[in-house]
Amino acid sequence: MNFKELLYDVFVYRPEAPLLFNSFEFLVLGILVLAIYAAVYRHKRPRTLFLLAFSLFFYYKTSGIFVLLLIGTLVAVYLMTRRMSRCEGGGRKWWLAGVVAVVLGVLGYFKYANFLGENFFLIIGKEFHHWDILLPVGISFYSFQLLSYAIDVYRRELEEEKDFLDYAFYITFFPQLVAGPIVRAKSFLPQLKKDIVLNRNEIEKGFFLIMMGLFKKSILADYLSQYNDLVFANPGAYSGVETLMAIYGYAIQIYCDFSGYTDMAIGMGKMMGFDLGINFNKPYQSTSLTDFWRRWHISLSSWLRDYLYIPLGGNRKGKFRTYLNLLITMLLGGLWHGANWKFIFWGGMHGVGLIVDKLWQIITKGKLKEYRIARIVGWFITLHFVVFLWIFFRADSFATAWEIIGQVFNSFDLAYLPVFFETRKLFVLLLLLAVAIHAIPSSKFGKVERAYIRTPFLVKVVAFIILIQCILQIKSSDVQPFIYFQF
Amino acid sequence: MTDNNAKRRSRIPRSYWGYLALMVVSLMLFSCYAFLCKDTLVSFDLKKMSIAKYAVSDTLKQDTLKTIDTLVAEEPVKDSTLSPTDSTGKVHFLLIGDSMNEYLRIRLNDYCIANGYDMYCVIWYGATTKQYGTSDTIAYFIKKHEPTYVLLTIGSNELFVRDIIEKRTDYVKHIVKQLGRTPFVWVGPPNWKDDTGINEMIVTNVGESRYFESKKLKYDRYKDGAHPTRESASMWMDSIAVYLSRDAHSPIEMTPPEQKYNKVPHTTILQMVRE
Repeated sequence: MNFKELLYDVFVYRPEAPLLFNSFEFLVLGILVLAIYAAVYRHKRPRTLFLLAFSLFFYYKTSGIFVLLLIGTLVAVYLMTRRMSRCEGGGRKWWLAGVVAVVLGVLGYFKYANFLGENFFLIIGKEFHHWDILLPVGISFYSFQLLSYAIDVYRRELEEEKDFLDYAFYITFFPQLVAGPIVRAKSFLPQLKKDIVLNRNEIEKGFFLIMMGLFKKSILADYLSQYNDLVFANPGAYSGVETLMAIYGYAIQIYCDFSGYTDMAIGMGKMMGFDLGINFNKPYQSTSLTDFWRRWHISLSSWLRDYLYIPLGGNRKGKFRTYLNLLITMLLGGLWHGANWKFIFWGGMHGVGLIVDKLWQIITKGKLKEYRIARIVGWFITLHFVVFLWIFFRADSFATAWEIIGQVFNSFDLAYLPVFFETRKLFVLLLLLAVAIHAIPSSKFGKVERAYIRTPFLVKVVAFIILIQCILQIKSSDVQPFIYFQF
Repeated sequence: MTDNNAKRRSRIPRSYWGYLALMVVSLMLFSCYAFLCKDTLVSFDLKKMSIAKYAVSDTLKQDTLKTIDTLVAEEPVKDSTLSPTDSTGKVHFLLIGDSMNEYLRIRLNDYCIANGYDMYCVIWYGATTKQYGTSDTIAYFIKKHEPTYVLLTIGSNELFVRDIIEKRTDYVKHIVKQLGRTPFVWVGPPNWKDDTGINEMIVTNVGESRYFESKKLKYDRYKDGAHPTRESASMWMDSIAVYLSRDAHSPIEMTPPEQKYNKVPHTTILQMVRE
C-alpha cells in the first residue's frame, strides 16, 4: 500500500485536484472529521479550534497559498471592526469605509483587475496583455460575509464579536466557505454561544440532504453537462432541436449543480448541529421574476437587498428611483458573478425584467394572481425568460450566445426530435427526472424526507452505496468542479 | 433531574454513529472492490473508484501500468486469411474514433440493417491518436464486443500537429497492435485544411488497403468548419462503403440501403480526461 502517495493526495494542495465535496479524498476526510467532532463537540473551545483548523485546511486544499490571503483579510476586518465599534459619529463611518476598501480592494484586484485593464486599454486604443492573476476560490462569498458582518456592527444590529476564534470560525466554516450559502453573522454567531445539541432528526435530515446534493450534483448536473458542454463549445454543429435541448439542459444543470452543492453544505452543517438556512426553494416554479429571485440563491439576493438595494434608497424615494435602484442592484449582482460584460448584461436584463414585473403588478393591481391560468402563463414566461438569459451566462461570449439562439430558430426541425431521444436516452431520462424532482411541492418533499428517516438503516446503507456506484458509472473522467466555485 | 436532561441532550445520537459507520463501511467496500481484478457483476460493467493507484509503490507502479496498458494484443496479420465475417457470414462492426462518428454511425447503421449486419459505436470526443494510443480503450471494446471488422476514425483533432511523424507514430503503432487479428480500415480525417502529415503517417503504418483517404472528398460542413453536415457525412459513409466492398484488404459486401432508417446504433460516449 502506497500510504505516502495517499497521504500526499489527501493532505497536500494539488492545483489540478482541489478538494471537492464529491471526491474520494473528502469521503476519507469526512470520516476523520466526524469521528473527531464526536469527541470535541461538547466543549466549546476545542470544538471551535478543531473546526476552524479543519476549515482553514479545507480552504488550503482548494486554494493553496491563498489561505494566507483569507486569514489576512479576516484579521484586518476583525481589527477594524473592533476599532469601529468603539467609535462614534464620523470615526465609525471611516472605519467602515476602511473595511469596505480592504474587502472590495482585495476582491477587485483578484477578480476585476484584468477586466478593468482590458476595458481601459480598449478605450485608449492600446493592446492589453492579461496580468497573471489567479482568482482565489470562493473569494466573492467570504468577502460578502465579511462585509455583512462589518455593516451589521456599524448599524448596531449586531454586537461586535470579541472572541476572535468565534468570528474566524463564522467566516471560514468549511461547508459554506467556498460556494455559500452566504450566512449572516446575526443568525450564525448566536449558535456558537449556545451548547451544540446533536439531534437525531437533524442528523437524519442532514444526511438526506447530503445524498440529495450528491445526486443532484454528481449524477444529474455532471451527466447533463457532458452534452451541454459539447453544444455550447460548438453550436454550429448541432441542429435546432439539439441546441434547444442543451439550453434546457443547462438550466437544469446549473440548478442541480449549485443547489446540490448547497444541499450538501446545509446537510453537513445540520449533522454537526449548525443551521445554515436555505438557499433555493424550487426556483423554476416561480410565477414571476420577483418570485424567482425570492427562490434562487436566496442568501445572495437577500444580501443584495439588505446591503445594496435598501441603502440605495430601496422603494422609499419614488417610482423612478425604485426602478433605478433595482437596475443598479441587478447590474452589480451580475458583475458579482464574473468580470465579464456578459454577466453584467445577464444581471441588467434581470433588472429590466424585475422592473417590467413591478410595472405589470401596478397595472393589474396584482389581481391576476388569483386566476390559475394567469399563474400558468406567468410561470411559462418567467421560466423561459430565465432560461433565455442562462444562454448568455453559459456561453463563452456574446457571439456564441447569439449563434446558439440563431441555431434554435434557423435550424429547427422536429424530425430530429425522435433521433435525439433515441441517441441521448440517458440525457433525456435524467433531464425529466430532474424536472420531476423539482416539480415536487415542498409539502410532498417533506413527506419524502420523513419516509427516508423512517427507512431501516440497512436500506440507507444500500441506498448510499448504490448512489456512489451510480456516480462512478456515469462520471465522465475527473470529478467536475462546481460551477459556482469560479464566482 | 436537570443534570440528567443535560446529559441526555449532550449524548451523541445513535444515528450519528450509524452514519459514520455507513461511511466507513462504504469506503471499505469501494476500496476492496477497487483492488479486485474483476470489474463485472453478472456481465454488467461496474466502475471502480480510482484508488487502486495507492496499492503499489512508485517503482512498481510504472511496470504494472505498462502491463495493464497492453493487453497482449497480437500484431496485425499481413497476409490475412482471416474472414471479416462470423461463421454465419454476418459482419459485426465496431466503429470507434472521434466526434466524426456522430453522423457516420447513422449511415453505417443503414448499411448494417440493409445487409443483415450489426454494429457498435464508440465516440470519444476530442480524442486523438495520443489518447487511443496511450490507453487500451480499443482493446477493451474489441474484447467486449468481439467485432469482426473495425472502422477507426481518428485523426481529425490533430491535423495541425507539428512534427507529427516523430510525435505520433508510436501511438498509431500501439493502436494497430491493439486491433490484433481483427480486420480493420482506418478512415482518415475529412481535412478542411492541409494537414501536417497525419494522413501520410497513418497510411505508412497501416498500408493503402487499410486506409480510406477521406481528404480526397469534398464536404458541406457545419458552421464550425470541421464537421461534415449530416447529409454530407452520409455521402462520406457511402464512399467508405464502396471502398470496403471493392478496395479494402478484407473486402465485404456493402449493398447500399434503399432507404434512410435514421436509427441510432448502440453507442458509448467517452469524454476527454483532463490532463
